[in-house]
Amino acid sequence: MSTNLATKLSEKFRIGFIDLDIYGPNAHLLLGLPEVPAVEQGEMLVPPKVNVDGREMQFMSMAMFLPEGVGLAIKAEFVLDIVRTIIEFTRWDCDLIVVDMPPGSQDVVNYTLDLVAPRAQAILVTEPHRMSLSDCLRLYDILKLKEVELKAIVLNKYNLFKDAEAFESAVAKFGAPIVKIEWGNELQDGLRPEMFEELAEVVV
Amino acid sequence: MNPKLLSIIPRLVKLSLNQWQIKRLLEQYKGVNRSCQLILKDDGDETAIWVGIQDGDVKVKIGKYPATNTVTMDVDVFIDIVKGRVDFRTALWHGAIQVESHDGRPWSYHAMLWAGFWDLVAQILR
Repeated sequence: MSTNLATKLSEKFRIGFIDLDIYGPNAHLLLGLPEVPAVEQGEMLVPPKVNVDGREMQFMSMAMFLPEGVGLAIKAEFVLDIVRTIIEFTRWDCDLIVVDMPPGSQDVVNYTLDLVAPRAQAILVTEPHRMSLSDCLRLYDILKLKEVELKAIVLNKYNLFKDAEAFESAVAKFGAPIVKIEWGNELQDGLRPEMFEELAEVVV
Repeated sequence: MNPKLLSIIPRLVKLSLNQWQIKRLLEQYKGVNRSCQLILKDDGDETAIWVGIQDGDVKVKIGKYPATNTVTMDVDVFIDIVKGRVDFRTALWHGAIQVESHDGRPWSYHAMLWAGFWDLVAQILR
């Protein structure tokens, strides 16, 4: 979702992309890993770049530091330290930063929102079923608490769930535009930014 | 110095003889000044090694000197890294290496940069 949105937005803006799923980064599987590692310049990290559809995108992910197949066996407080490095000690030079957050309202999400609010705007991604909606309500509560503007709600894999329309009315009360994304097998194969045009228009 | 470290001397000699490759790989460190205090532990025994990068040159000294961060690991882990039996990143994220920051920046900031440095060292030793 976020990689496709970032790729779509990169047609008009200089985009930075952060995969903040520290324990399980996977955006690099679609974006690729930068050939040059993050380097230091003026006591800040300079994010490396990946080439997406012929355009450069600044990219930071634990995948650059965590070998494939290796699990992260460090304490939660150390994970927050990694978030701090990526957000506060990295020199981002772009118009917009798209941050792919881990699911739910766990500590990484809370901590990141503390660092970036109120400059940040959020897109709530949920699937139209009870379990996902429950998580979504909690995250919406956190966004309100931290005064982060909700730009859009995405009902992901809309075509896969029965009674999806009922959940549309459940999230309509959040007052943000609702964008429905249907699941297609082509999304497994690679980036499909053309499928995220509506979302890109809603968020910027 | 811990006698266990004698086992990696051939590797270190190989490393020091490979000046041309070292210079080529350290090109990306041009203009970078970083230092690290390496502490190798072994049953109460401690070996301190200072590693500094100054404008693309690497300097190594035995003992404790001012540094922006300290990297601590078991001497056996260090030997495994130098011999290529384990990579720095895996040891780091499995908790076998501790990085401490002394300059107010996050420890992971230093860890990420040193991971890149050790990749270069491993590349030369391979």
